[in-house]
Amino acid sequence: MPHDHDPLEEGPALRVRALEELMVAKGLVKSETLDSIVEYYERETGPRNGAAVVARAWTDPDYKDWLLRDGSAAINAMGFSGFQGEHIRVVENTETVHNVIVCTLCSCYPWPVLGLPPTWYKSPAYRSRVVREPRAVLAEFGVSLPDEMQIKVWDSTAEIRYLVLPRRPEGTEGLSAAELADLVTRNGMIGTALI
Amino acid sequence: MNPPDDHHAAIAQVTASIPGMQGEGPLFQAPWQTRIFSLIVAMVQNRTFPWAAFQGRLADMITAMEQKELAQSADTVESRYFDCWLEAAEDTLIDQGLLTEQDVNNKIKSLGRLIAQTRHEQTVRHKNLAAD
Repeated sequence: MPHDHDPLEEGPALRVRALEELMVAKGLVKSETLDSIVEYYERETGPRNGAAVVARAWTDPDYKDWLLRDGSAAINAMGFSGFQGEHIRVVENTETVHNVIVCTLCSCYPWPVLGLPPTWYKSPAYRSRVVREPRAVLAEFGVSLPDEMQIKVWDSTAEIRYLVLPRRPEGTEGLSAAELADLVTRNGMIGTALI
Repeated sequence: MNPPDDHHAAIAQVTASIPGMQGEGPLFQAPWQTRIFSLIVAMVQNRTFPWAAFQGRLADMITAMEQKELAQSADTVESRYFDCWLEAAEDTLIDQGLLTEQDVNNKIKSLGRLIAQTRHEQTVRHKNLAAD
């Protein structure tokens, strides 16, 4: 916690407390609601949700069809719902196409399935470069793709977020959905890693 | 398709830390970042205003900030992101007519007085304890 004892922190800390107290006084929010949201994002959500979605899609063809057709509904059906009313579109990696997601404007991200974005996802370097030179950026993440593989970069917005459905690794035929979910990484669902 | 309960069981089984999450720091660097994040999420969730009303401002703040200087270190990326989040939050609340700049300034002043008074009382108590 590098900022805990920085006196400059009193500025934003005081300002945020003022905003919260004003909104609570107007009856627009309750402090307990804020507590529960923090709790949810710090403990309950995160890439495990996305991993469970991917594992189900790998083992259940009907679910996979639904997920690719209507990502929001299929994800909602597993009990993961967004707070922001955004649509989630799931894009599938295949033998010929590799997908990667970004938000060039800020850092829109599929929170319900991946939690909050990692620092590098918010960095100006990733946000500007992955659109211009995806192959080079992916190589820096250790992902080298054959030249003939098409790379699609999906730029998120306030209305639409993307989630990558990675390819199921070979030799995993005997695994259960829970075991498969264990293999799925956050970066795999952003597109900056292979599974 | 499996009923939803099976999935909750499946998720519960996936307790091992997900590779790729290792070595990540906490989600927030300071408690105020946590509060302003959840204030916006709460107000979008209860439909006080739409997410897009906030997100557009956040994007504008980030663009403006990056035109001045690009953040290089991870710490700077995080702290500037939440600085922008706070500014965008305040602007959104003002623009939605939920408060005025004057309200915020008055509240900050009164909180400042409260904090100063509390600190003064603490000092007096400490002195009294030391004198006993």
